[in-house]
Amino acid sequence: MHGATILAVGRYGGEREIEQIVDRGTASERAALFWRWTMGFNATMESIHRWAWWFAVLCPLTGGIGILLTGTVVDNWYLWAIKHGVAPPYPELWTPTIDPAIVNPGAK
Amino acid sequence: MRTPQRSSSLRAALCVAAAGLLMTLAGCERGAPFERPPVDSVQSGYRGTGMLQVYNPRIMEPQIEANQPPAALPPAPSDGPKASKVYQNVQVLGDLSAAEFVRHMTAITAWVAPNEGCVYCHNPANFAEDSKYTKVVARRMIQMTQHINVDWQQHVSTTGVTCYTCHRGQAVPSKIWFTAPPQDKRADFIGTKNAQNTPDKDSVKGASLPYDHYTEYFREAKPIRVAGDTALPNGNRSSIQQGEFTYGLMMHMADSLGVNCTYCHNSRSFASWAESPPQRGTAWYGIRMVRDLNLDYMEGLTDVFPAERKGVLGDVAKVNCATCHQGAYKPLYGAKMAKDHPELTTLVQVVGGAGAGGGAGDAQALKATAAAVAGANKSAPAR
Repeated sequence: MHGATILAVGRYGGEREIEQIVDRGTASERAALFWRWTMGFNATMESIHRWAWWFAVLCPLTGGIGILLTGTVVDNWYLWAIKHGVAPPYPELWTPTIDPAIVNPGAK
Repeated sequence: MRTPQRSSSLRAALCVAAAGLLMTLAGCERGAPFERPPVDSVQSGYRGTGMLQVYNPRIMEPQIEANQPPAALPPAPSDGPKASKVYQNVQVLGDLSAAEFVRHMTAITAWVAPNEGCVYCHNPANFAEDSKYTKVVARRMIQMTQHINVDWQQHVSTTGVTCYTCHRGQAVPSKIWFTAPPQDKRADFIGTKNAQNTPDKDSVKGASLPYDHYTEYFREAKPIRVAGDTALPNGNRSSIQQGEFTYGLMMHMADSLGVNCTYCHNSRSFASWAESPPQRGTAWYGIRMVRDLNLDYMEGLTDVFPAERKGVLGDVAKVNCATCHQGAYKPLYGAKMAKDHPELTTLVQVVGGAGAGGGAGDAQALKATAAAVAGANKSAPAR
């Protein structure tokens, strides 16, 4: 995301990012607009990087929690979500398919 | 204000980046996970759930062209003397009239050996004898086609298959597989790859997945379902590698049919049958059909085929989804070829030969002819 932002504002000198930190120019302004228009993130140079820092920290943390829970506390997250009303029911667009393994007992 | 130097250095950097991207795309071409936009997408499920089929018109155009059936031969009269009375050693198609029989032989030549002609299977000095292995194989393949059209309608429906569905004018269908040989380790300090991490294998198309999923599912009946079927842990001990085998099978099916996962599966739970599109049921029978054909028909011909037609381990060529489908969601995009060949849509028990009758008789007769052919193969170099 960082690289894409820098490339996107490359024509305004985005690749000289260090310089833009101490001396804000068009590239910084355009990068902020880019995030506002594409991600809906109305950010300043500071806030976007604070957000990114926490994003980087929390990704492995939450991912790790998911890995620890899967197979120990929850085995099938879809069925778990159904059980607890998290996954909404969708309208049926076709007749529910019957598992052929039920129709053909003993079939491998 | 941008200086010329900066502009040119930026351009150079972008050129390097673009070249790298092109190389990446070219490297992925075999598996084609990246295709140049624009692509067409067709919604197949409830809105907003990602139930889409993605079609690339630039890929579809030559693909559809390559999957057109040949024109059917004009029908032959069914009256007149039977083929079994006119010709000798007609074991499977003897009930046809002689004219129908000749029509079938003409069609099969065009389907399977258009360049080689009759002599690909027949001894020109005596068309009736079984000295060429190809004739023994062809007879068994006709039986296999009948078996598919009669006993596997849950997969092929009334559309059915003909020899052309797989052969497409080639003596050996282009999409076949052999059991993968074990890793050539040579010494203990070479790590065990555990039959995976070999992306150049055709069966995985650039992925690091286990590459012999064909043997797992199309020969042996290893469990495909690895996901837990309860919300909370309930003794499901399936390993990640088992999951990767399943994934390899699914990649093969998607690739063979030219479809996305959501052709058969619901985007939010691949395991849930109740929410799956009906195509998943058809595919379920397809996996069993392929296994049945490999075990009962292809492997039964192991002694008939000469060594150069076999794999490294001496096993016969076997079928998978791609053998028939060849990138189309229905082989030949659903063209009903079999209706023009009613001789392939009825099951005929073998008459004559060493053992009359079906089932065990077929196998017995096959063994006898296999032994005869093996002798013939030794004396004359096979094609």
